[in-house]
Formats: sequence, C-alpha cells, structure tokens
Amino acid sequence: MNASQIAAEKIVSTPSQGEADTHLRGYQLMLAMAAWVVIAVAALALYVVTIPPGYAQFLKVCTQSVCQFQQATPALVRALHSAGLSLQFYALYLRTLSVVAVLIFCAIGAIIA
Amino acid sequence: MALLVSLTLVIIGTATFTDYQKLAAAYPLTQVPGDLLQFLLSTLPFLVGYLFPNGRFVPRWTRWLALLVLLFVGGSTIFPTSLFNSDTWPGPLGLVAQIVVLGTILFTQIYRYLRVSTPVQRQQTKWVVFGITALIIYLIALTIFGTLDPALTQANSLGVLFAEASFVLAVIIVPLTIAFSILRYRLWDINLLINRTLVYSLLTAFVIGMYVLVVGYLGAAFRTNGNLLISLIATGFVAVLFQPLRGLLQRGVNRLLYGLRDEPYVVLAGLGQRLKTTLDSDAVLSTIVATVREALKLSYAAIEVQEGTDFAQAATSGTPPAKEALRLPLVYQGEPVGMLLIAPRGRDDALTPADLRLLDDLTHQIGNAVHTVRLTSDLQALTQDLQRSREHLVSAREEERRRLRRDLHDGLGPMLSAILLKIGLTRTLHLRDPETTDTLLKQLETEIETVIGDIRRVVYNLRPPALDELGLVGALREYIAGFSHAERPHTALKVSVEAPETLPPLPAAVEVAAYRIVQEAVTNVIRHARAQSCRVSIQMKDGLQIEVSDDGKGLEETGHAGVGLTSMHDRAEELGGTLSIGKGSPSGTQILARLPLAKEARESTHG
Repeated sequence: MNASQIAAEKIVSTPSQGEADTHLRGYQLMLAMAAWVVIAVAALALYVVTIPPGYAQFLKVCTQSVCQFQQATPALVRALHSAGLSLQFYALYLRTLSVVAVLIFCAIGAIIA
Repeated sequence: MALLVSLTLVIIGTATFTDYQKLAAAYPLTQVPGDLLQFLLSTLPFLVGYLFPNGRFVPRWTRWLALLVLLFVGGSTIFPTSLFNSDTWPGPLGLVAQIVVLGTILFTQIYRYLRVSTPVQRQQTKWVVFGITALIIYLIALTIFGTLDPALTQANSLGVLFAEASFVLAVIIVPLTIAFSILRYRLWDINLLINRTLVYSLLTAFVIGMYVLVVGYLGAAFRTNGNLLISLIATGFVAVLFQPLRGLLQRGVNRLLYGLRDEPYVVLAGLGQRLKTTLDSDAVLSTIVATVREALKLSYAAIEVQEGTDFAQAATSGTPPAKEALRLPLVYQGEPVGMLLIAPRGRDDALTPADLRLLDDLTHQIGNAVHTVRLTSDLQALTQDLQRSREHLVSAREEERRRLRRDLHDGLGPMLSAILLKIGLTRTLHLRDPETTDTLLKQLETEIETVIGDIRRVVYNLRPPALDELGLVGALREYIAGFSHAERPHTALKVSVEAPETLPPLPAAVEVAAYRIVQEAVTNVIRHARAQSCRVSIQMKDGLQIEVSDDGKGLEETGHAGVGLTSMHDRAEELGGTLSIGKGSPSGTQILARLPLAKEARESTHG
C-alpha cells in the first residue's frame, strides 16, 4: 500500500451556515465596474500628468540645505559622473522605476478585477 | 471583494507616486479628483483590512468600528486642520488612536482566521501576510543598513540607485502576493514558500553574521583592516559551514512547521523507543497516537480497533475535529485490524503527499502493534476465563466434598453407629432372650439395607453406575425407559432417544456432563413443558452434540434461568463447551449443548 492508495476520505470544506454571498450581480456589478473604470482611469491619468514635471524635477540639482525627496545633490552628481553616468540617466532611472511599479500595481488590479 | 482589492491596488500604485498637491498647484482642475483619490488612498486600505478575504465584517460589530475609522480618516483627508485629523489631537492621543485602529484590524484578521475562515480563505490570508511581512522585513533591513552605512540610502551617493530599485521590488511583492491569494492560491503552496523563505532568510543572516564576526575578529587580532587574506579565510569558513548550516536550518524549520514529517526514521525510532518503555499493554495504543500526533504536529489522532465488523475507539490524542477525520486502514498480514484517525495540523492544512508517505510507513508498524495488543487483550481475557474456571472447579470440588461429608457424617455415620449399638445389644441378649434378639436382627437387616441404599445414592451422585455398565447411550436409554407408558401410566409424555448404536470411548467427564444435562433437560420437560413428546438426540459432530427438544408450551417470555438451567450451562462451560436454549420447531423448547472432546477422543472418533 502506498500513499496514493491509502483509502482516505478527504474533508471537504463547505461555507459556514449563514455566510452571505458578497458577490455583486446585475446592475450593481455594472455600476461597480463603471466606477472602478472611472476612478482607475482618473488615477492613472493624474499620474501620467505628473511624469514630465517629475522628470524635470529630478534634473534639477538641489544646492539648498533641505532638498526634496530623491532630488539630486552636487555630491550625487559627482558620484554619477565618476561612475560614468549622467543626471539625465538618474532622472530617467527614477521615473522608470516609478512607472514600472505603477504599471505592475495597475496590471495586477486589472487582472483581479 | 476582488473589485475592492483591485481598486485599492490601483489607487495605492498611482497615488503613492503622485504628488496631488503639486499637481493641483500647477493644474487647478485636478484639485477635486486629486482630493478624491487622496481620500480613497487613505480609506480603502483600512476597508480592505476589515473585509479581506471574504468581503464580510467579522465579527459583525466591526462594521461600526470600520465606519468610525473611515469617518475620521476620510475627514482628516478632506479637512486636514479639523478634529478629524489625529495629528491635531493633544499629546500622544493621535499615536494611541492610530495604534488602536491598526490593532482592531489585526484583531479582526486573527479572529477571522481562527474562528471563521475556511481553509481556502486561510490560505489567501497567509499569502497576503507573507507579502506584508516581507515588506516589513525589507524596511527594517533597509533601516539597519542605512544606519550602518548612510551612503547606501542617501541621495548624495550611488547607493540611492540600489535603494530605490530594491524599494520598488519590495513594494510590488505585496500586490503580487494579493494577486496570488485571489487568483492562484491553489497553484502554489504558500506553506512551502514560507518554509523556504524562513530557511534562506535565516541562512543569509547567519552567513553575514559569521562573515562579519570572522573578519572583525581576525582584523582585531592581527590589527589590520581590509586584508585580502582575512576576507578569503572568512569566505572559506562560510563556504565550509554553508551546507551543514543550511541542512540544520531546513530541519529546524521543517520541524517547526511540519513536525518530524521529513524524518521518518526518527519518528519510527522514537515510536519504538517509547513503546519499549511502555510496560502496560493498555497504554501502548495511547502512546502510539500521542507519538504520531506530536511527530506530525497533528491536531488529533486516534486508533479504532476492529471487533468483528465494528470499530471500537481504543486511544485518542488531541481534540476531535468538527468534521470527519481522515481514516487510514491498519492492516496486519493483509487482514484489517483497525483504523488510524487523523486530523491535519491546522484547520486550514491538508495532509501533503509527504505526510501520507510517512503515515503509510507508520500504519504498517501501528498495524503490527494493534495486532499485538489485540492478541495480548485476548490472552488476558483467556487467562481471566481460565482463572475463573479454575476457581469454579475448586469451588465445585469443595462443594462436592462438603456434600459427601454431610451424607457420610449425617446420614451413614449415625446409622452405622446405631447398627453397631444394636449388634452389641444383640450379642448381649441372644442367649437369654432369643425373641428380642430376632426382632433386633430384623431391624438390623432393614437398617443395613437402608445404609446400602444410601451408599448407592452417594455413589450414583458421584457417577451414575449405568455409564460404566451400559455406556452413555445405554445409560440414557435406561433412564428414558423410566418414563415409558408402562412405567408411568398416568403420564402422556413420550420420550425418545436418537443416537448411534455405539459411541467412541468418551472422556468420563463428558459422559457425566452429557448424562446430567439430558437428565436435567428431561426433568424440566416433565415438570414445566406440558409436552406430548420429547426427543433426545446424541450426535458426534465436532465433539458431542446433545439436543433435547419438546413440543410443549415453550419458554416463558419473562422467565429467567433457574438453578437447573444454570447447572446445565455450568456443566457445558466447565468442559469448554456451549449450551443454548431456544424455541423449538414448530413449538416448544430446544436445548442444544456442544461438548468438545480431547484430541485423542476426536481422533478415535474420526478413526
């Protein structure tokens, strides 16, 4: 007798009594899907709008004592140059990372929906 | 629920990387949608926290809590300077409120996981918890490394490139695990993923720790820094220890998650060791179920021993599952001897093929043990029966002696004493009073006849003489002849005997028991049955079979066994035989006794 031959009765799980069905159907589903599309498109659109100014922001070198998040400093520019990289590369790199992350979030969201 | 989760992912993904305030400053038209998205970003994760994975508030009262949280979080987003914003609250109240809110979400998820969720929903929860835990661990590690070497994370060095890339990778683990939890929870085993993650996380930590320790220690010992030789030694040290350490960690994590599932030899050896130290056979099965449950970290294990077609629970360990447990047959040499009942580790776990492989190995050993325990139990029962039988025999023998003593002492003794006195008197009188002497001699003659009759009765009670003179069948025929119409004209009962002409030589005890059983049965028929006929049948069939049947009124419904019936039972059982009393066909009563014969007697019967 091997494991596959063991006469075993598998326990089959069943929904607990009184469990409400939380799936939307009919017009409720249509409304929810429409709301989802509107909000997702709006969110994505607003994000797309911020890409060019964000890229431009990363091209500016901060010479103040307090800089914006991820904004390049003269020290970073020197480090980039010594590594053979440019400030444009830095800005593009950060923007690309954020675009990839947003696309992954949105793609997974769309697949789940 | 899927729509809510997907919308939350889209909002988190876009809003995290969008500065809506700046956007509104540059494009005023985006103010309203920006605020709306900010509001959704603040509220949707909380809602998902309360509702995941089945879309219901569990417990139900948490809906009011969620409403309150959404009111404050949403309000603080729309009206940042109002009292809705916990940052405006005095002292540490805001921090306490945030901790309480997160605590309630944690509570609902734990409550749901332990009390409500189905196995599938628990798998889903595990996936998400895995993703969030991975992100938290990443953030902790980033903080530690950023503190140790600020160049790794600050924007004034190239470390920022690595930090940003690793942050994005860590963040997308969460949506990926959520996607797995909803779409592919059946495809990949989250338990295996947790197992490997634990092993390799610990391994990485140990390897780094060892490397740092060796380099630091040797560097301090030789007062040098960045020496290539020391780095090589540390690398070699780590390389040598890597494989044993990985094996050790893998075993440790496996034991933590699955018990000793992957170490069948250890389980079998442990089981053998525990059984060796278990002296009481009654405790063997309890020891087995306890060992199996502990070894595999099961929630429940039990053994049922087969008794005929039924199963009797012999030992249990753990709490019985609400639903039916897994039943694994226990077999000894192809014959089923019982069942092993198993409930998985957690309520959400199913037994894996590896578990079943080990259980398969174990059931062979357990089948042997159950067989041995059954033999031992049978032997104990037999020994007890034997002891009872011996006690009964001794008791019967003593009772027989007492009766014999009473007969001799109270009956024969006084009569012989009286005879002796009369003989003495006769000797004194026989010369001078011949008439009185003659009278005394006549009395003596009568008394001696009485004594002889008593002696015959005693001897007859010990063993009917007819058995020795005529054999069992002859003795029974002679006994039955006493009930013939000629002997008893007032009775209408006809008694017949059906038996072979000759029987093989039977043990004396069997002959006496058979004779007494027939005697008692026929006496009962005469006294109680009101029968017209009675048939006594003697056959050699796997021993001696005696059947006494009549056509009388049959047994009384409420009648309990009287002394006569008990005596018949005892006589049969003393010889290892059986006696059954039932309804006759078509009416009356049937008594069937089977008396086994000793081996020699059986051989002579068949020969």
